[in-house]
Amino acid sequence: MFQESEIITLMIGSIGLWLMLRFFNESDIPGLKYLKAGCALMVCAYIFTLVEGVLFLTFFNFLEHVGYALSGLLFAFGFWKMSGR
Amino acid sequence: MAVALLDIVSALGFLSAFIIVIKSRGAFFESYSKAFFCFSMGLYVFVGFSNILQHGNITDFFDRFEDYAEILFFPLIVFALYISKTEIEIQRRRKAEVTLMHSQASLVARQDELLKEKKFTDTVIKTMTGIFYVYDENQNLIRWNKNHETLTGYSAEELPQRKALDWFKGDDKDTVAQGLQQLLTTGENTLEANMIMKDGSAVPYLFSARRLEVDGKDYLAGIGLDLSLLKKAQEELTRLVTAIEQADEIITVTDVEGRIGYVNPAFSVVTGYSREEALGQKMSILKSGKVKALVYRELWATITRGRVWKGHFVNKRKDGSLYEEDATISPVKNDANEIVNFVAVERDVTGQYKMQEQLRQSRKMESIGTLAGGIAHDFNNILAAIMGYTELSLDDVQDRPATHTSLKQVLEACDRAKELISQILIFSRSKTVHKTPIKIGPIITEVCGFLRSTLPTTIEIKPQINIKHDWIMADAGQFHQICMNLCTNAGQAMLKTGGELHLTLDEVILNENNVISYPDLKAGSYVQITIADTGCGITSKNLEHVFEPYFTTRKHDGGTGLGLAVVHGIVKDCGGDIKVYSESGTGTVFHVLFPVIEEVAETQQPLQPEMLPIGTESILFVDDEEALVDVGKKMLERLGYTVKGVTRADDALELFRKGKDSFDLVITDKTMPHMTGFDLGIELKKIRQDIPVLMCTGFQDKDIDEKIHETGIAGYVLKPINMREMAVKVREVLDTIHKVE
Repeated sequence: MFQESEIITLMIGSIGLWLMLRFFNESDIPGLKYLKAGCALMVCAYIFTLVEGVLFLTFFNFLEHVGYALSGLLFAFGFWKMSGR
Repeated sequence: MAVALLDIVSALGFLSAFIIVIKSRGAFFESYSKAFFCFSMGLYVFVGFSNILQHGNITDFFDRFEDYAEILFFPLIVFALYISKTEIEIQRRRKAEVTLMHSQASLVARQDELLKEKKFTDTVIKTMTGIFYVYDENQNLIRWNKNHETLTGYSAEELPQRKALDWFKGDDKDTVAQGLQQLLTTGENTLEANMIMKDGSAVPYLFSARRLEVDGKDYLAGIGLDLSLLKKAQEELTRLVTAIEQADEIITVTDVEGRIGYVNPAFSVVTGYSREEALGQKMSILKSGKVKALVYRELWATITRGRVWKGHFVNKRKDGSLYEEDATISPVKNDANEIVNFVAVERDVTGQYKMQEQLRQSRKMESIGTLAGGIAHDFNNILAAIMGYTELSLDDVQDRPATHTSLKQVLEACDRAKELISQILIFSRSKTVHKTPIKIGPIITEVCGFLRSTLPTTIEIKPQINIKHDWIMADAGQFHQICMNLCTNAGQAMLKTGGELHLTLDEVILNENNVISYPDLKAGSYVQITIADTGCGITSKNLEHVFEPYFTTRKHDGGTGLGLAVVHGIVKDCGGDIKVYSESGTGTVFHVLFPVIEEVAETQQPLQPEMLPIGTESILFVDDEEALVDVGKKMLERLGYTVKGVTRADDALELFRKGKDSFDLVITDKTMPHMTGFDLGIELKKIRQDIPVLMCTGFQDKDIDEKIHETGIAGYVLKPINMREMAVKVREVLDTIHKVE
């Protein structure tokens, strides 16, 4: 069913995402919204990791990897914006 | 396969992110945050590659590493973001601090600037001429300059206690109050008012103020300028302008080209040109052509050299008439000593010149009169002898008709000569006639009647007597002669063409305005006899000479040239004046003025006896001319008197001393060498008080009556005397003495 690491990962990810959403603003850090989107997709991927253990394994696995792929691209873009380019 | 691709994309994405972080610099990628970002990205690069490799079924290690990476990722990211944010905040704070420092520095600089500006403004306000003031909305004085204290006399402590309206009194206070109201409406106002200083003096000021709004509150700020000097200068200027405008003299200002820039009202009065007509014109509009071009050239040369020119002009008015003026033309220079204008001050001396001409003419006539009088006296003596002997001879040749007739002709000629001498003496005013109050209206009527019978009917005679009170002091015969002479001349002028002869009698009042036309007369009431004809007139050339003796244009008609000279002499002798106006081809007008006297009752003139009175008394006859003694002796002896004749006054005196009671009458000449007739009379009176003395004289002094009265002389007869005159006078004197006795 669910792995402990995956639950911990999800919990930490959620907390981390909440902290990002709560305490960091776009006005403070440009490109932050892409990082936030990337983090959100990462958390979604964590969720999909948990769900794939219960339902539609292939589908949610696919979504998990989509999440990671998109989050990678978003992080790249977000950092590119942060760098001021 | 798709998953593998996604893992590849994921890995590449995180790798790109990792590279971007590595390469980036700036506030978000300072050392610690950069490290954490790199680490977090690096983890998932590893995770991504491990996922790729897991698809290749490598090892369990990567799977466990992925878990740790996933756990660490978010904390690393959050922490890195936190550091970045902190870093950013620190940098921002630093920037803000730097900005603040700069702001503070610029603030200090600005403050310095403001302080300088304030100092400058304060200095300007302090040293401003006039007074500076700022009142708040309650009319309290809150700002002022040093002058405000100095000029008003109030100290810095006293000034804030004074409201805006406290500085004014009376009407000025109302004016300022209204001004303040207007200020609130329009925002600015300027007015003049007298400001009351501490010492009570009122000084005229010009106030200019504006309404200000600062921090929502209204203020009134302005300056006041002392107008005392300006007012004084304005008053002086007004006085100067008024004086120029009201001056009787013409004052003209021209530019350097001679074009008129200003004229005063006197210019229009004298020249007839209005100010508007004159402005812009050159002074040459007044040229009459009577002044030589050389004068104008000399004038222009003088004034353009910066010197003053004085001279005389004959100018022409707008209506073409001429007038004379004395002019002074001066250049006007500016500070650079350049001539900018010319100013001319001109005085109309037309009247003055006329008077001078009249005076000159009058003196000329007087000189001629004196000369004529002197000649007449000597001539009279000569004529006396001729007439005397001729009269005596007439009696002796009664039986010789031819000789009698010839001698009668001689006597008639002598009568004419005597009349001529008489006229000369009248003209020269040497002959005193007895003036009495006469009414001239009837005489004029009589003259008209006489003229009607002598002048042709082509000449219409129009008498017009317009006054009732026409009494003057004159000799009736002489007045008659005046009218006849003037009317005869008028008739002569119209003899060929006919015309009208007007005789008008009016009353004229001479006052200070019109008496100037008659310089010899005083202001008062006069009768004016006007004799006007429509004849050929007198040319202007002859007009100057009409009253001169022997001046005549009718020599061929037997004119003597003495008629008007005699008229002139009679009129002057009566205290009057005569003026003539004439235009050639139009006619001539004579105005004769006599002073009016009080009405008197008319008196009866005594009748002259027809027969020669005779007598038997004893007479002593004295004359320095032997011939006259002889003639006189014979005449008197013919009349029955006993006559003793001597030619020297001292002989007469000696003779009288020896037999003072033997003479009833002494007849003596007035002018004798060694002793005059008057002196002889006085000496005779000393010997015998009641002896009557009769004077014979050929030259009649004006004061002869007075002298006769003073010396007690009985009377006088004028030479050349004829027997009738001698007989009447002698009898009259003797009869008077007998009546007294």
